[in-house]
Amino acid sequence: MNLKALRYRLISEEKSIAPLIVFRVLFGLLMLFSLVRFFAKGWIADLYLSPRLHFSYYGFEWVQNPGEFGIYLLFGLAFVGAIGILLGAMYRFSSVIFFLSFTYLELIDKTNYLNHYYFVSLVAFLIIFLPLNRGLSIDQWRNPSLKVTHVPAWMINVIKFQLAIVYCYAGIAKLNYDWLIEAMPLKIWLKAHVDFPVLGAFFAKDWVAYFFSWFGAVYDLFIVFFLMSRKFRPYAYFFVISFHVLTWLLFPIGVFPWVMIAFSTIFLSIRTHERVIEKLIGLSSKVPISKSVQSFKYNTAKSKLVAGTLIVFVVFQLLFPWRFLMYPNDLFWSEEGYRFSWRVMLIEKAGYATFYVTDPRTGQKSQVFNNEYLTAQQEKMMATQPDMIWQFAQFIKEDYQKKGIENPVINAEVYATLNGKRSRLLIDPSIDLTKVTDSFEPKQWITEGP
Amino acid sequence: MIRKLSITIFIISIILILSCNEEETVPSVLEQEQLAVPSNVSSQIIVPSYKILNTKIGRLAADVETFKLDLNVDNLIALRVSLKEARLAWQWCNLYDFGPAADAELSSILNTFPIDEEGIEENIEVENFAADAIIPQDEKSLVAIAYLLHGTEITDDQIVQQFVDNSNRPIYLEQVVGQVSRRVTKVVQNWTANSESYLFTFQDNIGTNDNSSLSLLTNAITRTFERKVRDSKIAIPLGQGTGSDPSPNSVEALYGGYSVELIRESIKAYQNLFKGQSLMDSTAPDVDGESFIYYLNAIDNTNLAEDLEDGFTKSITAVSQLSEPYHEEVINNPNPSANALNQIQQLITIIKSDMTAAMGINITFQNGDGG
Repeated sequence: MNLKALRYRLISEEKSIAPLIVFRVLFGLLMLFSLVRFFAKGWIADLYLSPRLHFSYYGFEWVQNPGEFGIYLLFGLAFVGAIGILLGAMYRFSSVIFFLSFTYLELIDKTNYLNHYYFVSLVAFLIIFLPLNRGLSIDQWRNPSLKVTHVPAWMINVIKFQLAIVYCYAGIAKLNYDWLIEAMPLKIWLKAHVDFPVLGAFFAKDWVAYFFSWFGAVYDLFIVFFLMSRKFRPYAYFFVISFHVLTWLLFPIGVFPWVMIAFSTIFLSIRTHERVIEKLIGLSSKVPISKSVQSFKYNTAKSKLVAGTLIVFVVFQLLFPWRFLMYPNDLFWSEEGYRFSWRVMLIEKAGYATFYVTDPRTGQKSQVFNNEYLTAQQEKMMATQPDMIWQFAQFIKEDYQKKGIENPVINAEVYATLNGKRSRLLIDPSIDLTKVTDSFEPKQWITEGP
Repeated sequence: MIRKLSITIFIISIILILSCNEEETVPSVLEQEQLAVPSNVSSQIIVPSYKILNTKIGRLAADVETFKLDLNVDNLIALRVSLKEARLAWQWCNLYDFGPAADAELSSILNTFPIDEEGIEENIEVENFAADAIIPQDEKSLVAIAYLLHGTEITDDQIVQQFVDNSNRPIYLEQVVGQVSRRVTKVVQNWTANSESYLFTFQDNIGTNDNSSLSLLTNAITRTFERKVRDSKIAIPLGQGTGSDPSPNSVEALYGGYSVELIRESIKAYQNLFKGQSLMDSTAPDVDGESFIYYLNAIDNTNLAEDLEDGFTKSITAVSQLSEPYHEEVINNPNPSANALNQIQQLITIIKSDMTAAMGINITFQNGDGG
């Protein structure tokens, strides 16, 4: 196939809008479900209202907790946005406020970092540029001239690309010694489930951990390619469902499996999507789908802007997960360049951090009670992640300065265990954490990994 | 092509299932242990601990009645002995702060310290001691009883005289004991009642996932070991933590002067739990039972069990170096306490990071939204 033909197939070929409509409905439903679940489980209070302080992201320190009213307002906006997306009502506005409010909430505290929140933010950003409301929507019902039947292929492919990034990078991340050769951390995790019905009896066996590790790596690496092949697609999608349901049953990973199952439907054939829509229309009215082709096109100026934005987006997606290569420290140990790189359920890490404050004037040294500052969840996450350890030391410094100790010396004795190895010091306990700064530079005060 | 593939997958699955079929009927060693640990720990250690506490509190309540009827020094001394025994027995229950005990807020009802002396005197003065009166936690509890029975810098005769002079005083004492006693009885009932007892819930809830009994227990013991033992009993009196001034009046047994004994007893309770030694069978007290050490020996090969046992021994030895009066020692001779803190700290590190990781247990309950 020559380049021109490839370009045509990937970008400009006119495709039915059906997959995008189905995607919009699934996205809206899942986000509504996710928000309601978050609220019902009391996580708004746990994660946003009870903490005394938050761990902001490097470069996003300006994202502050806006207080109780502000938090509920943001959740309200995200909720309204999700309903707007689901119904295709005031679509551009809905998708923009959903993206902004959801992303803002996620950026408040890195304690709550989850790959699938990042994934949702990226998809929410993408769909702002896609005309998902041009069929089976309130917008189109109010203004029938909005209706289109076809869209350029890139609009569907860019969503496929996003899914491919998640799966392939998650697969690449599994290609490491611990995962493949030691079957860690699955050896530990599976043993915790020997009470699982039927399969439980096998989980204590090492070969099962190896099987799951290797299968998981192969699945992540190649599932997208099978989903793209017309021949293997039904089998591949069956695998998608089985795989994610199993992970949902075994691990505390919330809505992530459902997000992947729902979003992967974008790979199903256009015919399948059209049938689903016919069913949906059959439910609501008897209007037949018009047979005449109406295509969606951005005008030239807009199209340049959108193309530019998306090219930057795609390049960023491809490159950003590799930044860990620029750090000399062991990735799983230092976690420099760990987040935003599709490392999902990849390591078992636990730690325990004790901070000591010394008043340089008196030499008096005392221990900090972490729970006076942090929630249990924050303390747990902080104890294994060096950048959070550093951040916490800065919080302590400010607090002691308020108490009249001008230049407190803050040391931390942090023990961490990684993938079943015995715990050891994570950072240099002699380093005064108030004297070092945070940046993208490698952190010299992190110890060598196990 | 597809047909070939599906047939291959089918055949492989059959082989996999058949190859393990013979073992399937017998539960794995690991599964037996995951079953055995909650069962052994609850029936042989937790429930007996609460029952012993209940008995001791019962005797305390009876001795309060005796004292109230006949206010004299002999009865006062007998009452102090039963109070101390009750407080020692509490150390064996302090660690199970989940389920019925958490619901009943047993820890703060029994062992809030330091107490508010002035608040207690005021309650007695204004007769604020009806059973349903809203009295702050630091004006009741076993520690408040200790204050009433020991006083500060006062002879035994004078203490008895205080009770004689003000008839509200024995009533207040009786009310506080009454509340403590009711709560403990309630917790014991919830653990052991025939129908719907928490014991069954606990024993049935196997595995190590977030809501399993092993996870519940591990979370409770790590939390209490940090907050109730390390911080409350040693670190705060010593002046660790924000503020950092020593706080000698915060020792556990300021009245009575047996703080060190209580610290030691509390760590022994953790040690016993880890070893899984039954409190039911006094004839064979040194046999390790199904508990953390036993479980770790089955799943871990990094000497974790050994290091834990070592950590307990070292912590208990370090605590044995502390001396009374402890509220003076934290000021005049802080080094032994600092050393004990250090030993306990190392032990907590092993429990909280190495042990939980090896067992696949999440510290903190929030099950979260993903990985």
